[in-house]
Amino acid sequence: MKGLLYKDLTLIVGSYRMNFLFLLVVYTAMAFALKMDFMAYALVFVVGLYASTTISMDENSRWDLYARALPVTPGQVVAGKFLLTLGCTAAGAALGFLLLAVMPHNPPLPDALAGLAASVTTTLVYSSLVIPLSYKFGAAKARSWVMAALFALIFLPLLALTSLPEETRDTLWGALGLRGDGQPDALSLTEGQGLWLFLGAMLTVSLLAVGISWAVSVPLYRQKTD
Amino acid sequence: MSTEAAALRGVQKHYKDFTLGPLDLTVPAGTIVGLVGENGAGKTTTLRLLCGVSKPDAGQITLLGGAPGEAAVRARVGVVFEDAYFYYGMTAAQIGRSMAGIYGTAWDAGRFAGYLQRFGLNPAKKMKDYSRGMRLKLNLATALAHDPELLVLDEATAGLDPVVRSEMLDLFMEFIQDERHSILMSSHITSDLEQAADSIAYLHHGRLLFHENKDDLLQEYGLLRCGRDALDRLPAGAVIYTRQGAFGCESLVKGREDVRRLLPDAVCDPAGIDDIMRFYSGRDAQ
Repeated sequence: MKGLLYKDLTLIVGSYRMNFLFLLVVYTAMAFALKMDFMAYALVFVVGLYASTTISMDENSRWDLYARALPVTPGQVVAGKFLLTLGCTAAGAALGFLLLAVMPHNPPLPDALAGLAASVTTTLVYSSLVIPLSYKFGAAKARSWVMAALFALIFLPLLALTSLPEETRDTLWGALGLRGDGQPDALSLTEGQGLWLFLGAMLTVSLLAVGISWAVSVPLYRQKTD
Repeated sequence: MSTEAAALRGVQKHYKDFTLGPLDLTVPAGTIVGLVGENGAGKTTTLRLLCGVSKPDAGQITLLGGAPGEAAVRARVGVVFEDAYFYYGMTAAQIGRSMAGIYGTAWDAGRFAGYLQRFGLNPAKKMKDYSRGMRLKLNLATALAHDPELLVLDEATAGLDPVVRSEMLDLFMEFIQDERHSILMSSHITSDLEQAADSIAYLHHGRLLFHENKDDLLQEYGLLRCGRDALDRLPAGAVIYTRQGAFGCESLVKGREDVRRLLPDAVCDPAGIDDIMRFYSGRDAQ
């Protein structure tokens, strides 16, 4: 596992060093000049996604085939990709936090935390789609499949929700502790409670996405060379 | 110690347009087995099955007394695949560190550095800046650094100049000297196998046509040049395949000395592995 992580980290550092420095400068400049705290959240996504791009490098060199003859298991190879994704996302979140902290017009801490949590979850959910789909269809074709999967994950539930009768929708929101428009219920939750609820929900979604994706990715990876 | 480094028994692998096997092949411990066959004969598939890269649909594979699916067994094997390795953006030093993490204490960094030095490879240079021959050497250094008991080589000498190939063959001979190590290597360069291999296994359309001791094989087969009528004087089964030319026939025959005795006026030269393959494939294309 250590060797697998070292290989992928070496690939990321070797391939994206200049790209990363360029993005860091541009994002920081935009965040400062345009007072755009969004750039800090975008940084999380970009850095987090470096991890899954190593799959296309593996494909390019047919590393997966070679790795099958080494003393590592498919579970370890796939776990390595997820650990790397978690590590890159954590590094991106730390950088994003730092950028928000030094910005002259930085947002209040709860807003910053909520924004970072949302970007971390977006990155992990996106990576959780990219990794298994890359193992199934190849890294290049996976991009189209990720778009289709995102559409299915975001728009279809929204469509289903809007087609529900208003009373059913209100009952559903109420059960989730939200108002009829989907916002936290100000009467029942304090701002602090709302933040913790949001962070908890983001953490749950992230863990679920990573867990399910890992469980799906291992057999897909195994089938790749069989 | 087992007398077999590896064994495939009744192994089959089905693809949409190709079936390998049923295949029975053994790699005796302390020997070099050369695997030959035309393109698409199933050599790479056989090697991949043996290394645990893919699973057979039927049959049993024994690798160093265990199964290829066991990571601990694979840790005792070194592989060189023609088309699969690390990403070109990595240096030899980085590959060494990665493999040290994968093999743990079995990885001998000193041995790896020794091979790099012996092959004249700069550890700080990226693989993309190496020539094809240098990349193959690096691949081989990686396969040897953990002192594997079995080395599996898929076209490891392809594309190398004769000097480098000769160096590689010397290294292979050196590797099996202590009889604890074995090699299974596929190659289209049959002269390399004639030089280094102890036995030759010939795969043809996914089937093993023979696996024979190399010296016996080269002793047994002959290229006979004579007229068509002379062929009729040979016993059944002696002629594998005959090519009719403008000036007579050229045949691959088995039992060269017997043929020479029966046809003292005909020319019957020793047949090389290339000749044997050429005539067998000609027979089946007929």
